[in-house]
Amino acid sequence: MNLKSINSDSFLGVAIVEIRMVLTDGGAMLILLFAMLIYTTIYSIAYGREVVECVDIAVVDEDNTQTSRRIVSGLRSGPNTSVVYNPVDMNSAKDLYLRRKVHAVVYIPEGLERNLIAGKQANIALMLDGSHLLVYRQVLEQATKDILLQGAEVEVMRLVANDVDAAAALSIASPVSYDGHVLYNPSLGYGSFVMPSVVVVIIQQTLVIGLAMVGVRRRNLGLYPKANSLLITTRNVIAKILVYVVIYSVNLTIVLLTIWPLFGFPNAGKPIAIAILMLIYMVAATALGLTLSHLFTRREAPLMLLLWSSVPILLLAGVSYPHEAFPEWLYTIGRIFPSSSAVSAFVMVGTAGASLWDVRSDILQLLLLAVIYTVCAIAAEKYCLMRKNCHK
Amino acid sequence: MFVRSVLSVFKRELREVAKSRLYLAVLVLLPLVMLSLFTVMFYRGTIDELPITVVDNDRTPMSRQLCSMIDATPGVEIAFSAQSIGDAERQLLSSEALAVLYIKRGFESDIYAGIPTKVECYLPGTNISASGVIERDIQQAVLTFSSGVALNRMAAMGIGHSQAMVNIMPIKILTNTIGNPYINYGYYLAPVFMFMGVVIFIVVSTVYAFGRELRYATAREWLSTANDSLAAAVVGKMLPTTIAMVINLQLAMLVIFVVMGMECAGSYLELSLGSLIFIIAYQSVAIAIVTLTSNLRLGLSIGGGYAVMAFTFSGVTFPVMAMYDVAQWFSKLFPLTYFSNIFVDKAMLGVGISYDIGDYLAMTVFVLLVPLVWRRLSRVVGDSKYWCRD
Repeated sequence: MNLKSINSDSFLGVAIVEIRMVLTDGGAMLILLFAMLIYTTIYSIAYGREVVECVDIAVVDEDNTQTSRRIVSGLRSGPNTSVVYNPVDMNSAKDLYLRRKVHAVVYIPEGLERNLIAGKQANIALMLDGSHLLVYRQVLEQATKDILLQGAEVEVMRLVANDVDAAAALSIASPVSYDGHVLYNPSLGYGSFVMPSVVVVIIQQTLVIGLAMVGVRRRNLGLYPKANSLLITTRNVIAKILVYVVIYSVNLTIVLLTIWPLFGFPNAGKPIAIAILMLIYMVAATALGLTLSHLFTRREAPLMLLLWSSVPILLLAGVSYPHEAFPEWLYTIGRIFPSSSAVSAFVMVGTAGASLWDVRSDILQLLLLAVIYTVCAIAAEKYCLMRKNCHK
Repeated sequence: MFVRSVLSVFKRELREVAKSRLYLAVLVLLPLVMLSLFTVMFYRGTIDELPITVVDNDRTPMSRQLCSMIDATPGVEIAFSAQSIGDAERQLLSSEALAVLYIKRGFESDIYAGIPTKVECYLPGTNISASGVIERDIQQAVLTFSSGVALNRMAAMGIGHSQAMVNIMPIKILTNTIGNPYINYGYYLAPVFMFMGVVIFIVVSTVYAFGRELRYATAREWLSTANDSLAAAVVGKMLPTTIAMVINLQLAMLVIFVVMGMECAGSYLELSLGSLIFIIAYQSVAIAIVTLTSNLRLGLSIGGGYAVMAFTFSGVTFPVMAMYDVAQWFSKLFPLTYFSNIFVDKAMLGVGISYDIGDYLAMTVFVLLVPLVWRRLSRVVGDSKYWCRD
């Protein structure tokens, strides 16, 4: 199929050439058509289990009484922890920990029950793994719950024995309690949390890298229209943007209709709100890609120079790692990427079911970026045509 | 003879590095940019002053006291107040507030009447890292507040302070966090993010080094520089990337241990040895990919995809042990998985090499990929039908 033989002097012609450009280049096709499906599938498999459960732990129970055994049985039945070893002392427990057989150790010293019955404070020690914070948090939460529960039970029993009635006993020891509710992703699933951000970033990164590959080839082949008035350039840029918006809309629809339900990721969003948000985002990301494509002269360069930026760009959006934790100026600079506003908007609209009005500041930023980058793309193409750089 | 051939290929490659801005960018410039970016990003290490909104339907001295105690915690800042839960949820959905604290009417009067009461908190599961910090701090503040109320009540009942403390907390939990005692997010995340970045540059530059000779049909010249010894040609070509990446990883560790101030609990030498095997393991995978694809750009696409995936499967974000079995098995296909284990062992736990010799050996296995593709490599380098593929 000769790309030059297609009449590219019409809106439809430009679009057809663009589709042909993608379909006749294996590398570009892999990135623009399939990468999103492949990546979201693989990442979903990695994150699909959602929650950290049954963390292997060791318990050293030197007390070995009814009270201590109740705590151990709480830890054993989880759900966060699973007691896989009962070493005799802390030294062997520590060795198990260092050999990665267990991820935490609970140490119940001798005298626990005796102290509790005597109305003295008892101690329990936890050895936790600070090298993985998700594991750390799960074990701490489970152990605290089981231990405090036992402590409270013993306490109430003791107060009741001293002629205080049970309800009053509870209110004396714990007058105010904490009651937490998790919204939108109630099981705190990791995949449900991170996948929306990942999908948004994949869209932008594959577009930018793929379009640069296509752009270099287009210039190498000299595929530019003979007429190059500003109006025609504008029309051509819009035609190209449209091609990619259609391709990515199809891909995103497939992802949201197959992978999301398959892995049980929450999707509370209204389809129309998601569609409007993502269309604006895709226009912005495509226009950014078209603009940047003029910076490259070799087809291998875009991937080599841009791939690494995917992880920083995901972080700059400030969702998977809260932006309050890094400098404000860095977060502000990150807003030049359409993905930054799209990540927070898509998480809220898609997962939490927010309306477009709720995320209006992100939408406004995206609209602004879409306009700016489209103008840049037109200007870059016009400049390129004027310099005749496009013709080899 | 062999050494001389390696050296002449090495010199030829260095000349190419000096000539090519692209090559220089992936070996030196971009790794420096990446390391600086992650340094700035994780330097603070703590997540603090996260904005939340409060719906205080009680508006009493007690409720205000609780709010100011929550506001005083390091992780939380009460940045907004809302009239109703509905208004508060709008603030959540527009990402202004990261949690809603709800104090019901009658909070104070319940406390005075001796009726157990509660404080509610609504956290979005769409922001797990922030929600974790907020919940921990609010829970702690509520516990402290509750204990204060209980202490006063028991003092009024004539119970002495130390006995009252025992009543409130019969079992005291002592935590000893190994590896990262101050729960510094920077110590936990920065190393693996930096290693991940270096992995991308190792794979991309190695695929480029080999693929370029095919793409621009210079393979014969490359081989003749090595006096027709393929082994010398391969080693000499790997070397500039190996050296550059050793320097980049040493810089990453300089940032982690000196700039960010993490203490290296174990042997730095063993860690550095691990980092060297880690680099060579990824170079070997890259050589296998470029040999099998015998196409620079396809090699880059596949190699790049492989490199990026390691991050997810190394388990730093979501632990490998919690993944599906198939994903756990898959995670073994990435040297980064083993190297992050080694890093935790050496830097955080300070254990000797006898504890993680398996991780060192597993990384070494990847080097065997090169002999596996050797025959094809010699065919691809020698046969012009594999060249000039764009």
